[in-house]
Amino acid sequence: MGRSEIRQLFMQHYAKMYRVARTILYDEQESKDVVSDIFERLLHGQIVLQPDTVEHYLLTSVRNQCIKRIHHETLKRQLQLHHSSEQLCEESEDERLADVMEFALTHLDERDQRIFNLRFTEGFSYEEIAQMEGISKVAVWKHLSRLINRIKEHFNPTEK
Amino acid sequence: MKPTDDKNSLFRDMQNNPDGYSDEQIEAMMEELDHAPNTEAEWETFAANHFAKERRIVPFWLSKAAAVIAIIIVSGIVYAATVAVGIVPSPFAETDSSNETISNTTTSVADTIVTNTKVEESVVFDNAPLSQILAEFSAYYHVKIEYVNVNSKSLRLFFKWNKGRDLSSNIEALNAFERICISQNDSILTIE
Repeated sequence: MGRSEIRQLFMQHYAKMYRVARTILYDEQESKDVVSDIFERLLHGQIVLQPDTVEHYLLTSVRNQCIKRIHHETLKRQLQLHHSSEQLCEESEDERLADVMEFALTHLDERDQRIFNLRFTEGFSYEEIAQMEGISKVAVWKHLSRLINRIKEHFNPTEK
Repeated sequence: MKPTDDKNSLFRDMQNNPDGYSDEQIEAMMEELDHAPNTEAEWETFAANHFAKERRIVPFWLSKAAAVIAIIIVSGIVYAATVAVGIVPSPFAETDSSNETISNTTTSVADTIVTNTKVEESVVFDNAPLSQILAEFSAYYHVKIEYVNVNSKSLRLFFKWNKGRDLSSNIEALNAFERICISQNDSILTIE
């Protein structure tokens, strides 16, 4: 993919991708790194985008990369290893991501799933979700916090 | 602990205990998380990190390629001049059966030119991944390719492969690229 194509995608999707990353990771620099890594893979031809699913794919990639980073950090703490990334199995991480998504789809009610997707798959701001759902921004925050905590408790019972 | 670490801890605690904070505190935190980045500035940073090096690579190689082309052109001019003044007979001149010596010389020069044309056969890779170039090397020179750094596979470059040159010369040309480091051990090429 050439410079002009990358630039066009960057200008069009960066803000939303960054927003999704910050919602999950909080850290500003780490969020920028995740988004930058995805564009780097695009640049090197490691990802091939289908025109009709570009935004969905990019935002899903951000979410998955963020969850992987959290998983790395969690394992690092649990195993007390300095270089635990070398010991992680890419396949088991992908399976874990699939488990998280399956949990979100099977254990959350319709409204929870909708809010989860609006934030983490569609990349909408708290303000936009509040307007769509007809609730306050703070209510959206509390709603998402409860969802995230449920997922965390399910997959990392010792972590909170 | 750095200020950003403090803030990140606060964000996490707010998420874990949303009822322990006032609406104003949560709204302030949401404002920060939803704060739009300066996309133009981020693009400049990304472009500087990922395109600047590639811009340096191409002129370096092109300058080498230009030097090779210049040598070929100058050689051609010198050869044409020697033919014109009669130092070397023209390979296209009709053979004079009465002069066996000149005829033999003509054949010899013409064969050399044809041979040179064959050995200098080249393949141009335009924006091709390194993995593709090395796969061609592998098939042509009968060597095995081993990647220590798999990220190198996806490096894209403009490269003119002169099949007339031996493997080590072509590896040397590839190693001139800033981000490429290839070593040869017998019939194994290792990419670090």
